[in-house]
Amino acid sequence: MPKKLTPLPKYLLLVFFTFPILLFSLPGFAQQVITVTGTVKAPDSTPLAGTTILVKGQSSGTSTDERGNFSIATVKGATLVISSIGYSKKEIKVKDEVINLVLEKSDNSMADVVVIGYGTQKKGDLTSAISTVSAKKLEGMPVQNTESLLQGQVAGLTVTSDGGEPGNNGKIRIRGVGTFGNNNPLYVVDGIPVNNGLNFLNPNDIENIQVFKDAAAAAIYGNRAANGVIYITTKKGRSGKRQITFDAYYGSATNGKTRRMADANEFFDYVKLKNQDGPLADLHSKGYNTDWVKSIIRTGATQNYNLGIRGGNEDHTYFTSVNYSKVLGTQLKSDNERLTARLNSSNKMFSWLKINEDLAISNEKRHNNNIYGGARNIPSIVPVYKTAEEIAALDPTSRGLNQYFDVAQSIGILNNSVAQIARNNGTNNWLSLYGNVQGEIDLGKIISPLEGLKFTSTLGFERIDNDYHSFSPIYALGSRDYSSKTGVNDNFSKYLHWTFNNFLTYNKTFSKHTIGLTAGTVAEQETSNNFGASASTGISNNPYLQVLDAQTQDRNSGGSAYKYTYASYVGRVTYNYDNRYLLQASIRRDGTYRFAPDKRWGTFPSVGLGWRVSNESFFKDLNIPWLNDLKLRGSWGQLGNEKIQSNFPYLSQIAGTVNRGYVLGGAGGDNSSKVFVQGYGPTNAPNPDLTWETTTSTNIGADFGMFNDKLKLSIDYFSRFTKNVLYQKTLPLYSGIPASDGIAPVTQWVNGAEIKNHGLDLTASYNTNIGKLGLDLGANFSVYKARVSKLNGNIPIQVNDERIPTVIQMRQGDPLGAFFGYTVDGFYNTAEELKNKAGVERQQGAQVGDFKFRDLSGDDIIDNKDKSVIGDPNPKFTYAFNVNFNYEGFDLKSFWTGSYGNKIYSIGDIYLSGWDEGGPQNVWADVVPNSWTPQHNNAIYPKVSPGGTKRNFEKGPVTTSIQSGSYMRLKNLQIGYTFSDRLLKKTGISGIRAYVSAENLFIITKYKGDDPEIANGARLNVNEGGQGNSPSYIMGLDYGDRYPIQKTLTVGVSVRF
Amino acid sequence: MKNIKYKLLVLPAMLILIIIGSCKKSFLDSAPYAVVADNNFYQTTEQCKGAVMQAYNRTVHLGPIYLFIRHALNDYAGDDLLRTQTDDFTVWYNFSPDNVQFLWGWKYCFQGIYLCNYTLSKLATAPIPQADKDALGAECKTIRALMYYMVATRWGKTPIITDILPIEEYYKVSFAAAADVYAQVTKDLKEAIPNLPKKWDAANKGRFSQSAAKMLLAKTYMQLAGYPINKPENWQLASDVLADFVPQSKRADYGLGLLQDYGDVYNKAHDQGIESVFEVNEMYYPSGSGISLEVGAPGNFLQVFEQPDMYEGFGAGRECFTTDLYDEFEKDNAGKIIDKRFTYTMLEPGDVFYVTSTHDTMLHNSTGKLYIQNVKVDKATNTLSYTIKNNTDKSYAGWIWPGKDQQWYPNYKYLRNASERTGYMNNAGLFGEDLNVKWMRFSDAILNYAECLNETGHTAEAAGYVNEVRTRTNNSQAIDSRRIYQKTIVTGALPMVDAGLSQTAMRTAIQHESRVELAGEDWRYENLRRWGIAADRLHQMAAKSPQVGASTFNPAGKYVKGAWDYYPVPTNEFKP
Repeated sequence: MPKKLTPLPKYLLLVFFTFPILLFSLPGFAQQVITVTGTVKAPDSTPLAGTTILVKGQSSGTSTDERGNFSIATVKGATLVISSIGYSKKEIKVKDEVINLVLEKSDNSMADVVVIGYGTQKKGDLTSAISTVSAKKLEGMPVQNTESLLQGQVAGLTVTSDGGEPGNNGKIRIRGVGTFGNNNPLYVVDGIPVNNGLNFLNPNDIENIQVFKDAAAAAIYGNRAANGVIYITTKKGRSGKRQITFDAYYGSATNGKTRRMADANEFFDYVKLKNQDGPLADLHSKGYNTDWVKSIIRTGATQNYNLGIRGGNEDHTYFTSVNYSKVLGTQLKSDNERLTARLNSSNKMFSWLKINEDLAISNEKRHNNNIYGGARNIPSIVPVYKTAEEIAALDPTSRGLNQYFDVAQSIGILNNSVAQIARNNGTNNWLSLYGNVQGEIDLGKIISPLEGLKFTSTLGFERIDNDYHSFSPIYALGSRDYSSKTGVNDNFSKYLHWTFNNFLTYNKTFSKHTIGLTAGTVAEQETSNNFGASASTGISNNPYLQVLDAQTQDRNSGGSAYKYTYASYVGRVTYNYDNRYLLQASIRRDGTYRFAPDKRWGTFPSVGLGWRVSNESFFKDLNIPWLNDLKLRGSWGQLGNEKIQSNFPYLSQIAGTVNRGYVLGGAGGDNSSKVFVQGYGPTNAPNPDLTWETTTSTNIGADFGMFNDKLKLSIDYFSRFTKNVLYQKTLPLYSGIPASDGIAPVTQWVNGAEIKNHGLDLTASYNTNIGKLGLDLGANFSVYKARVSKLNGNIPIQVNDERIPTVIQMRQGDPLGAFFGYTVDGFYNTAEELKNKAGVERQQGAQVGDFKFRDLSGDDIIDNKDKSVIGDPNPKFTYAFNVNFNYEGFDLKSFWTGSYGNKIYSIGDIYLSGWDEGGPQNVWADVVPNSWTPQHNNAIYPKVSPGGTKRNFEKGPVTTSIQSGSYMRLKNLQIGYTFSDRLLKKTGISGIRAYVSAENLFIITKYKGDDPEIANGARLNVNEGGQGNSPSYIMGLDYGDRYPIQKTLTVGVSVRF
Repeated sequence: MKNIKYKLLVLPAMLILIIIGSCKKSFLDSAPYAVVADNNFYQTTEQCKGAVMQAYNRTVHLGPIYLFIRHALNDYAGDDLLRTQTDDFTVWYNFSPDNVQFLWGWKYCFQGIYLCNYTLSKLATAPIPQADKDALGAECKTIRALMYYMVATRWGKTPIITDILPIEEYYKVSFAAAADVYAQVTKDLKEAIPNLPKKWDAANKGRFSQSAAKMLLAKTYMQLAGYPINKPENWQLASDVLADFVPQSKRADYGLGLLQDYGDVYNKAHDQGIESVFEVNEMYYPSGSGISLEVGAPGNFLQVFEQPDMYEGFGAGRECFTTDLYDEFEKDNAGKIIDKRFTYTMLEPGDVFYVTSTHDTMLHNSTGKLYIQNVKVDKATNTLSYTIKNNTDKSYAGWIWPGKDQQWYPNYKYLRNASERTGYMNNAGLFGEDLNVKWMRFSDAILNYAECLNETGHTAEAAGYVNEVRTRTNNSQAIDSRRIYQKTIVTGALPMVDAGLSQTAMRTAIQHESRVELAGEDWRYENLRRWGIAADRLHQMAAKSPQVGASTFNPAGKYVKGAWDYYPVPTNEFKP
């Protein structure tokens, strides 16, 4: 007979979305209190730190220290519940004041619970490729952002940085690149997708990070998950004794590997070769030797303070934290300051209703203005400051701000970088609110036959306000470097992204069958609008007049807005038979506003199978003593991607911009009679057939636990096959369709290519104790190979730099982002070599001392037909490993990362090695000794000549500019000491760890430019003829103007109460 | 086991949820946000006019803003202009499919064509009065004709597209021969002419009038008549079209005529004046106008590009006239120039051109550029005295230019001195000036008519028109008040062309007249080719002025008649 239905309380809905009271304090029992102490150990006698000890039915509890010791006040006859992750829970009735016990390993070592998207699963039941990085592993790493935490932690995940600027977090790629468009993974924080990166997130708040690598894992997130999912779970409250942690660190930073520019003498040597020494002799004789890069840098500093409190009882738990961090970058006027606070709580309102909410607030303020490129352009013979006499000689009326700075107009240097930094004061501010409210109704508690059925509703939001303010002063450094006007620029934007998830889940075990069903709907919307205004000609540079109101002219304003909507249906089945056979299948149907109504919906299925071989009776019979755990996994799934930089690409759109108008009137030269008539015209080549890009991904993997899990090994083979790849197909120029700015060339969004990517991820770890010495070794290794397997019409995809055509060209079969250009076969050493057999110029414009390009087409003329793929920016493999020791209270950790076989196209090398015909540009220190001369035929650079070297480089990439970007770096080296509890007993402190940590201590590489790691994150300077934005598959373009990666030395302390 | 029944409730419950969720489908169907779809546009005459203005804008891109594109497609390929050493662009005189200037020109022409096609197709169904449709449609067809004329003269074969095609079709379009492209141009112009006004009122200057369309039509016939198509029957057709507006009696109707003084042709006070058949307006936007002053807004950089070298670093000095052109100006027996157009066409070494009011005066002499002060000119003897500025004053020091051996002559037509300047200077040091581009000039129409008359056997009549142009030259001021010092003061007068010349001699006379009258105005290359003398002229020029950019090798010398008649189609087209 079914039980009577419990009526739903009327106020249910009211409670549902109301933030409940955070902290509940329950009165304790007034009984004979005793203090129970003891030690908790694992079967192999290692102490189990962090084991939770709770008094059953009460809120009080504690946890064990590093040595497994605990102490708890309770009464005789109470029951202690002792639990530790990976071990089976134990309940003990208090009889004595000392309790020592050994916890049994739970049925398998993979019992940790992992998130699988709208639900959780035991790690042992996984059939897909999900990697977990726990907070414990990340502890004590003094990093400012989550992206750097992840670097090297997971096989198949790479983090590339485009510079060490404060607040620059790099970009993450999971298993390489799979498409021409968006290659970013989907970030999900506590179940809610976030679209604006993880800057708001305090790394100390992270409980763990999971990386969903294959389609079977990510498919449940369908839309935007084709490049994998980074799932972050923040710290939650725990029942038991409240824990307070305080972490602080302070570090100083200096620039890492950078390439040196010519000093004054080296530069003058170069100028002599250009025949330009005459005009410069005067300046050179004054003896200035400025290291311009040095003059814009300083020692950076980092500070970070974090306070976290967690606690709760069985019904109510909370976690709250406050973090303040400030980074002063190594370049003047670059800094980032962030204050975050977090409030997470979970409340069981009734036996059947639980309400959780997370709220994170972040306020971030940043100054950045990377000026390395500018500073590098200034030759060292130019001084930074004017001499006292020169300042004295200035006409007082022409003295403006910073008039003591020098300018080198005479040699075509228009901007003094140090003065530029002094003037720059653009400030970015972000105020972000992230949060979610979740109600969970356990229907089984209302209607008992429905046991296992739960309804969960979650509303998540992401709200970001950004404002940017800048002021440009009146100043006068020279007749060309001056401004007679002040200017103010203000920009405001607001962004709201909400997600509403409604799910039913059903989990039940019937004897040997465990079944899980999940079904639900997801709705998402993003809205954004921004507004900007600028004006100029204020009265003065006074700080209190640096506002729009005080500017009287050139008033401009503008703004934009967008709205995106998505809707999805999700379903999943998981099945486990006897912990031996595992099945998971999911299906997701996604709709997007982006495509035409009949093309909006895509369906993405996945299935995964697993076999716990080690749980088979025959396996036990095999009696392999070294292998205690073996699981084989296989999965297949499909995912969709629709994220392109175009809204409503199916519609023909009309716009009017300044590039579209025409001026009428003006007879007799009368400007006042001229009228600008705004023109309007089409801005795109619409494609009503545009639809989802689909990635089919297959993963075959195996997990091994050996030597009683001391050695763990995972291996995964994957293949990703992306069909209907969305990209901007180049249309013939004669089609004449102008792009949105009215000028750029013509492309159309199409589903027109296929990309194949396959590879291997390996992860191994080894943990053991040799006497008192603990050893923890870990390594991961990954390989991928991405190729364009099909291009519709085989019309190559080309990417141009502003000065160099077709830097990248891909045809069918080429690697993604491959550099396309000429192979250098030495130099033209004599005038005879310049002509071919027919007596015609062999290589257009070439002179003696120039590169001799290889004639691939065999026609004895060097032209476009002689270009080929000459470099692949994708690494052959990437790797990371850690070697950690601990002995007594000491620990020593080292963490290494590396990349092998990736190529970098060093464009900066070209521009600063004698490119220009005209005024002498600055050069790298090694240019003159390595340039061709009649005596030095075995050179690296072409002949330095008055005409410049650009004709060697401007027709496309050349092999000498393409260098190996392989490297290995010591990412982190750390020595820590944990104070013994004997010392701390009376203080109430349960642990103190102090450490010294060094980041990026050194790098081993042959790369000649700056740090090869930052060269991987690419930006592209494009111009007409190139694609509008830098496509995300572009890697390995080094302009030599990145903010260097920093070496930091940090001291820190963590205190636990 | 009884519970099983209830457990089955799970499934219907899940189904219900999904059904509830289904109503969300409409959630995606909101109207496109913040986007103007084309079916909401082209509803009023005003909107349709905006669409036509957008098509006109491509003339701005081919001309004023990126003047060098039009130069690249014209004079750089001729014998008048040379790139200087400061050139940092791709080698200009480079008949290569990779030549970026060719690519840009090709692109802007076809953008103009597409925008005309698009607008014409929308006009067809726009709910506006038929008269408005006809008038705006006529302008679209004229713009399209101009673009196809540009393409046909430069590249010869090209796709002919006169409609909006499904995207895939664009890849399949075949290339038509030049003669067929000209046929399309004549068709468009003939359809447009009846619906164009003879002249525009003051408020609408800058738009195509009937005379502009007719002049373009005549030029199209001349292209068909000349090399390499060589269909002489077109001379008469061209002549007939020009006869509609060139003869004295017809000019008033169209508001056309010759200015009194050649020096006024590039004087701002005569912008959109009687000599302008088609002139593209430029505009400088005063502060507070709300229009971006950066590249892309109308406002051009002609001055920067043409300016004789880097005065204060701003002048690009990217081009100069050749010695070959210098030599073309007629001289008397003593070797003194007698053509007053010389004064208004180029600077020569030794001239002093006042640069700015606040800074110093710049002198060009044969060794380079000097900043001078205390400038005094003795008018009686036309001599100059000055002191050279202290060269340690870094603000004005500069690089030695031009090269030691060359004598290059800055183009004076687009130069303004400080008092005439209205332009805006941005932080990069670029000037946006309101220098209009005089695309089609009436004196050219006169010379075209003379040529047609000569080719159709009316040589004596042709002489009258040539002499009209020469007379105007003689009536011009010898001294240019805008200059501080002019080394050569032209004296004497041009003799009149003899009406009794042979047809061949008259042809030569007209060719000479056209070269000096229109120097630097972007007609030279297509005329050279049409006259069939491109190869000879370019070989001679290359021998005289071997230097292009940093190279002492001038590829003009490589010109092969027949093979280099047209530019190669840009590589990026992936098409023959």
